[in-house]
Amino acid sequence: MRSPRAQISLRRIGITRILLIIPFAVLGIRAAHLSVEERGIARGENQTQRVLEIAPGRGAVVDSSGAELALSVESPSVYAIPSSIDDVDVAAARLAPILGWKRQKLADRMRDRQSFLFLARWVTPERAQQVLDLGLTGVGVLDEPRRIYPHRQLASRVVGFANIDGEGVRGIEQQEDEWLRGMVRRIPIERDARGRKLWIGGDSQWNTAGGDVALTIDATLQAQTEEALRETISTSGARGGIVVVMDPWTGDILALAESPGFDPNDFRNLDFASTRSRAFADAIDPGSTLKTFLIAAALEEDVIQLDDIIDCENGSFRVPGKTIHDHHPNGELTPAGVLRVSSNIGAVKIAYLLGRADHYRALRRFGFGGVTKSQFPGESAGLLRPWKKWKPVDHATIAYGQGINVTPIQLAAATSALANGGLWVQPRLVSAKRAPGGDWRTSRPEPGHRVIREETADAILKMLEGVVSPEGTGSLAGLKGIRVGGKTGTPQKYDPESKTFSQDRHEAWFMGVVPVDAPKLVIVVRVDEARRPAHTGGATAAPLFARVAAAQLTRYGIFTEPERSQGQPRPAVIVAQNESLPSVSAAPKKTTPRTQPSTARPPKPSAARASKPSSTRPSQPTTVARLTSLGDRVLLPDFRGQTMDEVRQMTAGRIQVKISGQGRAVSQQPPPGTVFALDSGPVTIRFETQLAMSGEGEI
Amino acid sequence: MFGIDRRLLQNFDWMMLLLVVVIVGMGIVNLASATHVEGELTGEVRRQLVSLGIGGVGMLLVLAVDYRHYERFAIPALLVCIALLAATLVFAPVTRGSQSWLFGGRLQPSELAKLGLVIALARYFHRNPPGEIRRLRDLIRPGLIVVVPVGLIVMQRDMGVALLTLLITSTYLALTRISWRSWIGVAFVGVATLITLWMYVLQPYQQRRILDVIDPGRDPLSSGYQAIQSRIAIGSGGLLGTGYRAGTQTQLRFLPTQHTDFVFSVLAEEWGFVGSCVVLSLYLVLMLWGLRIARNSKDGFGAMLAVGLVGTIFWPLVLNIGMVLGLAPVIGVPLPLFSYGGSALVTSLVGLGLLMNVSMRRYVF
Repeated sequence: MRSPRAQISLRRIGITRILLIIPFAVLGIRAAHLSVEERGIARGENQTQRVLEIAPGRGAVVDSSGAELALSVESPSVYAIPSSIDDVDVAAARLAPILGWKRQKLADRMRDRQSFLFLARWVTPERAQQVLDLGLTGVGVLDEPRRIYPHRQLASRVVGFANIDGEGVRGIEQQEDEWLRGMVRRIPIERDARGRKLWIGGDSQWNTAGGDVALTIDATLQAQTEEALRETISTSGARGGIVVVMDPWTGDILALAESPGFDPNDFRNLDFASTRSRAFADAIDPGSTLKTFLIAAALEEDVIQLDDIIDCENGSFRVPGKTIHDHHPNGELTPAGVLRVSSNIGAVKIAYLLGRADHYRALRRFGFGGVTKSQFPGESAGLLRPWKKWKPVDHATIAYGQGINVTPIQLAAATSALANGGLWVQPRLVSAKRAPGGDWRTSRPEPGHRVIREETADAILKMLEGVVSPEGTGSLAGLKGIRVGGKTGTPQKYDPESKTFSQDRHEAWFMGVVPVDAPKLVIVVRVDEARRPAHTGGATAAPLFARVAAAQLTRYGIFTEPERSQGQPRPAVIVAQNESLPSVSAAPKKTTPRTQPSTARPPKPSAARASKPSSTRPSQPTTVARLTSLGDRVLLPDFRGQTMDEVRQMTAGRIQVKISGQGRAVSQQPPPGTVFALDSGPVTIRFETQLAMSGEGEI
Repeated sequence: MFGIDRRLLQNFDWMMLLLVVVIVGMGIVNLASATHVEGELTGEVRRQLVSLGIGGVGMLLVLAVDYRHYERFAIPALLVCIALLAATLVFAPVTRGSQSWLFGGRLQPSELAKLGLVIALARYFHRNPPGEIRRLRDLIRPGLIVVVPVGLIVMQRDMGVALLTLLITSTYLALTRISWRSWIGVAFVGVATLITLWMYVLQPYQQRRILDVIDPGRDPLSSGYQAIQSRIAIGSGGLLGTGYRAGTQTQLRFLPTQHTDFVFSVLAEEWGFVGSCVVLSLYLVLMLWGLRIARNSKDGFGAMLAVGLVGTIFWPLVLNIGMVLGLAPVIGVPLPLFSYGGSALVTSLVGLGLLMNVSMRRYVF
């Protein structure tokens, strides 16, 4: 008896019933499928055990000059076919002393039901011969390729390593695994191989060998870079560090140093997780280095002009949800000034002028928040949340590089776009490949795509030069006779446990371009928790930048050294300028900008700078630079600030000079740091008598 | 109120009881294998038997009272559930990423909330028959009933249970007359929401679990581990199974949660495809029987109650077995009546008691 009040139609119940049966049918079919399919897989595994797969000779990884960073050699391994062994105990007793095993353990292992097993892999040839001399049936020696990393720690995180089966699992070894690996040798083993010798393919392994790979990295400069990084880390008490050196025109990574390193030969004892390349895999807050890209974006969008004045509120500025502070209080600054003294408030104001959407899009154009497509395994995209999720306070902190994560590689690629006139180029580590028995084939760098106008890039480069000026935060990055541009960054470290930014732990960043007038290199430095002399990018990362830049510039025939040496003197760098003359002390230095205490800075340093171009001169006025020559080319020194006599002395009669005016040199054409061919005409130098100079003594 | 009419015994739903007893019995036997220790009953089995006793008593108590009385208590019961859920947020410790247990791990209020919600919705749909619901906006009011408890479960970070609860309440949608065009609209909005959830709300580990459904081989040693091991176990069972307590995968404990969420893979390995099919069929018959009870119910409340109760068994069942078979993401949903777990077993039994209650009073006026 059905109630007439039933409020549920029979048709609806019918539909519900069908909706209910369908999932059961799906589950039933799936269960049937799994019990058949997975069965087949299990059986298939049994079959493959009859074939022994030997890794082929893996191709070599070489540096840009052909030095081998990773190569394969044949190394003997001792194997056993348990079913062929007549008396396991006897065999074990004779093998044990050679292999260094306990007799009982060896016997147990050989009683294993497996058809084939390795007793010891990669033994010395002498041991292998001893084993063969025993003449035991069922025990043999097989040459297996073994990976060797002759330079050990050098570029270990870039090169990576292959595991015992010859499979690249880290770094370039993983990235180029397919190319390097070659074909696997399959050796069939009969299940009951009693009395039979294991058959090994008669051909040489090189027939199945893999191809070679050449890196963009130069081993010598890589070593110098790693050495400089190691020294900085030990003197500063930092936890680790990264240096990326990139060619801004091609995206070639010329050196990539990471500390601590590891010895890939010892890969079996390494903690796998800690062998990743942090330069690619670990994204952190970029700190103030990011202001550069903010200002680039703002100029690009015409939101600000070069001569705009930004009120930096004397060091304290309230935004919704936070009060922004500057490290030192600032008054009114131009955009260049904001960058030079790294004013957070100035950056926040510019960011607000620019707006979230444009700010976000510009950062994305510069490559932040996306992988660089370098194909390096494990590359991180960093973290850049979409602008719609930025609250005003997020927007403010992103302006000065907190609350966004970038990798050193991303930062290097973005900086390259500033250095090469506005093109983002793909970073790359592999420059050429060679098939087994073939010739090297160089791969062309991919053409870049435009992210900002050339004028914008050039304007930013000039600003970056201001950062490295004596009044800037990056003054320690200066190089003698070379125009350097760069930006410091000192973000607080984010503590994922407490979800806050640490007050006492920092990362020190420096990103820079040398030489500014004809960029050759982009260098990004990151030092993790430096303690001495200070934790900041300016104190720790900038001097390291200068050291690395000086070493790397030698590849372009430019010889220089850091303007201010930190700690010990370095031998490797060829000195481009002479030791300070004894008469330096005689010169009254009180009025030179160099020795001016930074607190006594004029309120508008940029304006003051404009009227006194000589004050930005990177070298001391009383030192006389000697000419650095390279055959018929010379590196033009900085003549500015020198008297005519000094200039004559410096040119040593080898450079033709065209002189105008009198007093001290105020400008020169071509600019300092240029590699100058001696027969390419005169250098124009303009001299002026200046009030600012009158207080200085003559030599 | 407690008077037991003789007609009630005559009309007692023996079929239903038989189904429940068989399924629970198989569950206990299977659990004994999953937690097998040489020669004795394991602690899990003993505790499960105790829960079974409590659940049985609960079932009887629920049976004794005419279900129509429950309609009156629907709203207070829901409020109590909400209060318990809120209390969990305040008092309960965080275990394995979520915060859902009260009284030292003896009570999981989200389990109770499912029953509370079903009763409340049954009452609502009794008064507003779903057969008259033709527009999406008519779903707003019942939706409001659902939102608060589900929201609280979401705040406990127990996404699996929150999703499950939503699905259970969605059972009623099958009874409405909303046109298919509207559902396409809903599907569109739903997909958009899912994409947003994926991008902004889900934790990386949750995203990984979903990706693992699509390709369990992508990370065989971590999050895809359970899914792969479960598939291997099912494959190793084959058609007829390896035999009771003889499953190599399960007896060697490859699956850490084989007595709770992955209990079905133990069954599939040891009893094979045939065993899985038998259990699946038993569940299917139970579900269809539940719908039959809804159809034969003498009033709307009973019908609505029965449909909702079928949902409380159906959804966790489908999600759990789907997860074991690699068709659904690994969200911690136990298999009703089968998995080890006291709270879940007791609530399932109480729910089934309610269903029998509706069934045995179908002729009583």
